[in-house]
Amino acid sequence: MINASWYRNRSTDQLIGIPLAATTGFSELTGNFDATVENSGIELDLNATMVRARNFNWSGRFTITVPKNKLVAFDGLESSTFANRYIIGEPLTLVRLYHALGVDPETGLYQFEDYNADGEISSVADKQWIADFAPKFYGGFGNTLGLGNLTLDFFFQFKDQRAYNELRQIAVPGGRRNVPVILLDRWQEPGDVATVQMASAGLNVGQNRQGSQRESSAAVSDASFVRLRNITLNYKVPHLGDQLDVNVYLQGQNLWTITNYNGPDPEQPSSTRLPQLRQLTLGVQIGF
Amino acid sequence: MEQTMKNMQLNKRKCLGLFTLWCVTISLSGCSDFVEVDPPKNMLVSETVFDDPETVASAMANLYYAMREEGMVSGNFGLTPLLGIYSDEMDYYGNNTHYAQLYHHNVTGLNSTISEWWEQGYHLIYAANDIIAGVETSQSLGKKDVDRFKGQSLFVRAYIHSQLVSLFGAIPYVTTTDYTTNNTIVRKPVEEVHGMIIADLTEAIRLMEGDDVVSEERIVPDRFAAIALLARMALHTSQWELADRSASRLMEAFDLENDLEAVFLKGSKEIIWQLKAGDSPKNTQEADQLVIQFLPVQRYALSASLLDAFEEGDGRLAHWTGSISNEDSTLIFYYAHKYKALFTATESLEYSIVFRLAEQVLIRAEARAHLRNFEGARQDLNRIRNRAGLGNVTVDSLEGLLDAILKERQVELFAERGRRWFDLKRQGKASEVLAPIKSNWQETDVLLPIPGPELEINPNLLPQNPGY
Repeated sequence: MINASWYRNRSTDQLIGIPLAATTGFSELTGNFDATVENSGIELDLNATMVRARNFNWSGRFTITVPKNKLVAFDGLESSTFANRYIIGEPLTLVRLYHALGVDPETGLYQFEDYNADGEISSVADKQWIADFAPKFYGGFGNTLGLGNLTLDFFFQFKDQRAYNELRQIAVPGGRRNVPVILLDRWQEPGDVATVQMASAGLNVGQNRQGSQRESSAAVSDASFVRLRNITLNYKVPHLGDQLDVNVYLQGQNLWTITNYNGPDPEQPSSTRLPQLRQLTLGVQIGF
Repeated sequence: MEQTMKNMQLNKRKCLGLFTLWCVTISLSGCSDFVEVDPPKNMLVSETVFDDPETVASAMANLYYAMREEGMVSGNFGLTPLLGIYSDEMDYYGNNTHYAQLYHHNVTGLNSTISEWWEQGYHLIYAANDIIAGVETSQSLGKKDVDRFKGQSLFVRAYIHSQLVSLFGAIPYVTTTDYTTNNTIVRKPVEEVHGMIIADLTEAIRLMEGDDVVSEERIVPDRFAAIALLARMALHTSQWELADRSASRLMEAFDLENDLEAVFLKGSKEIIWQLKAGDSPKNTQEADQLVIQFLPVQRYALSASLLDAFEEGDGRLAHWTGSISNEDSTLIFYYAHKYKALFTATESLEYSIVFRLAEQVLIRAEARAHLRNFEGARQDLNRIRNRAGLGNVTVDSLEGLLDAILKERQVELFAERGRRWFDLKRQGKASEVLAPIKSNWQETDVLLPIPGPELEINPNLLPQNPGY
């Protein structure tokens, strides 16, 4: 069975927290968002029974969602407090960042693209690199296999997205604290080609570049993943007595993930949050 | 026949339409009283707040509370330790990266402490403006109350702007609560901001002039607090006569505390305005931040250059600093010990002082030196020196006097809301003094960066201060 749907939803004048300059005394104002936002997408839901026999059955399911968000219109965007945040025709989920150019092998410092060529890397003017954190698509697929009293059920989840990586939290080693392993690949002497700039305890001007690196394209990377969300093996104990229904099961959650994400958990991309736990459960279910 | 039926139906519909319209009209004309909601009984709305002097006083108290707890005046982000490490008063031993940026002069526009100062500062200014607007339009407050509250609020507005302009240079001067205006506001040049601060203070002093309902513990800023800030601003704008006159008024009204041990107690004679401590802690947050209770040092210790600045026999070194050493005395650290009562003290002994007379005496000394009244300048300077157990200075030149006064200010006003930093900046001596001890020092460090996110939200604040 296939269930396909397409949706397009336009909303205008949403009531949201509009950011205010601190000079107003407040950080935001609840008001109508003078813009038209469109959410559209396709959702596909597939259910199939491959085999249905007396002792064996096999069924599968697959779902996928391809969402799209777009700012359709915004009168006065240029003069609003959103001017440096949104772009008409682009999703609301985009962020503007510095464009990281890696570490200069001579100075050992992070380099950034100077968009306005004024010799300074500064907020607004040089934050022109755009990333979108909304997923391109996401969904899942699973199978259920039954053989006699034994049932095996598993479900995979997938998502294509980009997200902040570990550099978002810390981009320069040298402080008195634990840092991610990736910071080991640091520049140490002229000529070194490294992904991380020279270490700094703060005494060096180099630490200045940490803030920018954390707000740069280097702090964004692919966070797509395929994850074995759930797998259950269930054994239904053959007839023990009237009205007695006994199941023994072994269930695993979050057992296996394929991802290139540089951080603890691509599902909640943050390097400071505890990733989802891997769980194994052995259980007996008795119904009477 | 069919035709008639149709007409009748049409008429019926018309009638129904008219009837509905009539109902709506009736209810509209009758409901204006009905939909007017009485002020809620369980909370205060702005109209009722400004009807009663007591609730206005509570609103004002909230301002002083906010100054004590948040932002740059006192509390966690208070200027005392943070400008202490930004200048040459203290060394920083903690691992807060935002504070470390200040200590090492690596500040960026993303520094959260700087954002806190900016945001909280303008929040306080909003609150002051709100009270000004509220008391001006109040129907039931008496003139005396209106004048007093307006005067206090104008003072608060001037005080916060004076801190912001010293830290950030050109800044917006906010005088309304209208967010549409303030959201796109532009920065005003420093001279203009100084002018507006002085205008606000002059008006505040005029409004509070005859009103001597000063609080017993000097915890509410009255005209004397406004005069104290005016004297300070006069110094910043080289208006020596104004500085001389203002400081003189305070020297007539207050006395110096002769006992060095009593200067920072909450009952000290020389206090012009102080922030009352809360129920817990019952004393200042500054004592808790600055006093080193065990080793290794977790936060701040006095710098060698400050300790070197004390002359032999200066009583302030013994009374206003403390020290701690390791077991075999190979390591010794000094800390500011003006406030002594710690977080755990159960008795209330000290409040956080914002203005005290000693600063005014030194302001007058400086003003008189510029006015070529060297004798008067020396007298003032020597009053402060004598109290500390030091002998008189005898210099008889402008240069010599100014140097002596700057040095005296360093040892008298250390660890007091960044006075040292503001002095170095005001006298153009920041580079000379800080370049040798701060390896990252740059000329442009005299101003802090405007918080980066603010430039994104309100591009009228661009350009960023040089160097950031």
